Amino acid sequence: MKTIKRLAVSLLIACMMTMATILIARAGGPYYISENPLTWLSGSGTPTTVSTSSCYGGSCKYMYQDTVNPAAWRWAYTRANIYNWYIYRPYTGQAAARYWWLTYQNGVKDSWFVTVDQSVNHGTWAYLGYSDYLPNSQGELRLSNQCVSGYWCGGLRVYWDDMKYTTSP
Amino acid sequence: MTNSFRNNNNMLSKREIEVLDLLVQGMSNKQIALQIGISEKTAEKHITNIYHKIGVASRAGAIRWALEQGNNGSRVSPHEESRDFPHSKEDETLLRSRQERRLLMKKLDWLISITAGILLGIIALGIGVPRILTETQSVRASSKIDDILTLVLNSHTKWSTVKGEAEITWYDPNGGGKTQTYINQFVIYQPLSAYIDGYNKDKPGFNDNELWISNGMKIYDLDKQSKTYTEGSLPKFASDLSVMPRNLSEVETDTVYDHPFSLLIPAPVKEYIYPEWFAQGNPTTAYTLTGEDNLLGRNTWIVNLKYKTGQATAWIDQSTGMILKYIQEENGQKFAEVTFTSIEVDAPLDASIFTVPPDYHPTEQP
Repeated sequence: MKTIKRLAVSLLIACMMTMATILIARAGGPYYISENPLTWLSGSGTPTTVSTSSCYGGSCKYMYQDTVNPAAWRWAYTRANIYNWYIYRPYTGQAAARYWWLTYQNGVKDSWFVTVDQSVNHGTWAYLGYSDYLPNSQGELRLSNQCVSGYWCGGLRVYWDDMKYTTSP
Repeated sequence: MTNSFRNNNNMLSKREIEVLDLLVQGMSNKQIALQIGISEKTAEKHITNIYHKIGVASRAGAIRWALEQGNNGSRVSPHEESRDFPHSKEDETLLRSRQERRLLMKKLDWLISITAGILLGIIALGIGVPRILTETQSVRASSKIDDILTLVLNSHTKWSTVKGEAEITWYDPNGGGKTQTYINQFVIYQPLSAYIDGYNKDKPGFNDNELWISNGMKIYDLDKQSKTYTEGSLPKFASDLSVMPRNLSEVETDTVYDHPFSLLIPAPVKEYIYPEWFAQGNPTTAYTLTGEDNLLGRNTWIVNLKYKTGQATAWIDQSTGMILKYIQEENGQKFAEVTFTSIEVDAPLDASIFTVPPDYHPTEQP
C-alpha cells in the first residue's frame, strides 16, 4: 500500500513538473502575427494583397520598389514585453525589405534600420534582433519598399508577410 | 555439500540432512549458516526440526544418531574423517584445513573470473577498437561538410578587419536576360564599423548613389548626388554576438539568424563578410562538398546548397570561412553572381573613412 502511495505521489510530482515546464516555455512565445493589422502610412500607390500558398499566412501584401517616393507601412504593437523579432520570407520574395524599428521605454526612444533580403532563404524566418527595452509597449515596426543599394533594384516586389515575436529572451 | 545420511522413510528433508552432516562435522550454528548460505536462526530451526524428527533432545544425541546411521552402512558421502568423531584436535585441524581449502577455492574462483574478464575485454578491444576507429573515420569524413558550415557560422571570429572589392551581377528574376552589375568597395572593422560604396557598372549613376557608413554607434545612408544622409541608431543587439548560434546543433532549420550587424549591411556584402545565412535554414544533407579551388591566392572549398526554389554554390575561404565567390540560381535561372576581385584580411585601416564627410547634410527620419 505504501509503495502504491509513494508511486502515485512520484507520478503526481513528475506530471506537475512537466506541466509547469510546458507552461513556462509557452509563456515566452513565440506569438505569430499575420499581415492583417498592417497600417498604411505614406507613399505612392496602395499595398496590394496577394493570396498565394507561397505566403506563410496565405495573403501577403506587397509593393513595388521605389527610389523616389517609398511607401511606409506600420505595425504598431501595443503589447508589452516584445523581445525577439522574426520576419517570414515568402517563397515569392525577390527583393530586399527595409524595416525600421522603434522602441520606447519610459519616454526614452530608440530606432534603427534592419534590411532583410527576401530573395534568399525562402520559407524561413529571419531573425530581426531583440529589444533592450522591456516593457516597450509604445514602439512600432515599419516596412518600407525603398530600393536598397546593393540589392536588385529593378522595380521588384517587396513583401509584407507574417512575423512572430517572443516576450522573453 | 552432498548428503551423508540415508534418509530413512524420508524422515529428514534434503536441507536437514545437509545441516545434520555439518553438525556431525562439528560446526557451530553460525558456521553451518555460513556454509550453506542461510541465516543463523534458520540453521537453528533446521536443527530443532532434526531433534524432533529423530527423537533426540541435544546436539550430542543428534550426532550419536547420525553416527549410528553411518555405522549401519548408510553412509554415502566421502566424509570419512567424521568416523573419528566426537571432536578431536585432529578433527579441528582437518576442519581448518578444509575451510582454508574452501577459501582458497573461492579466491581461485575470483582469480579465474577476473582473468576471464580481462581476457574477454582484451578480445573485445582487439576486435572493437579497430572497428570504432574505422567508424569514427567514416563519421569524420561525412561530417566534413558540418565542419565547413560551422566555420562559416563562426566566420566573424576569424578576422578583425577586411577590405576589398567585389563584383556583383544581378540577373532579372523575371527573365529577359537583363542584368545589373555593381562594384562594391567595402571596408569592415569588426565588430561595428563599416564603409560600403557601390557603383553601377552597367549604368553609371543609376542606383549607385548610396554610400553606407557605420562608425560603431550610428549608421548613415549617404546620397552622394544630393550630399544628404539619413542617420539611424545602431541596433543595441548588433554588438551582442551571443544571439548568434555557434554550432549547427543550435540552429533551428526554419530560422535564419543573420549576424546582428549584417542585417544593416546591404547585400551582397554581408553574404561574404557575414555569411551565416549560408549555413542555416537548410538540413545539412542539402549541402555537398564538390571540390576545392584557389581564389586570390586563398584556398577555398566549393560547396553546393540545394534548396526548395533553387541552388547556390559558394567558394568558402578555408581560413576565414568567408564566401569569396557565390553563384545563386532561382527556379532554374541564374539569380546572382558575386566574385571578389581583391581582398585584404587584417590589414591596418584609416579610421576616418567611418565618419560622414563634412559637406553632407542630414535628412529627416522616415
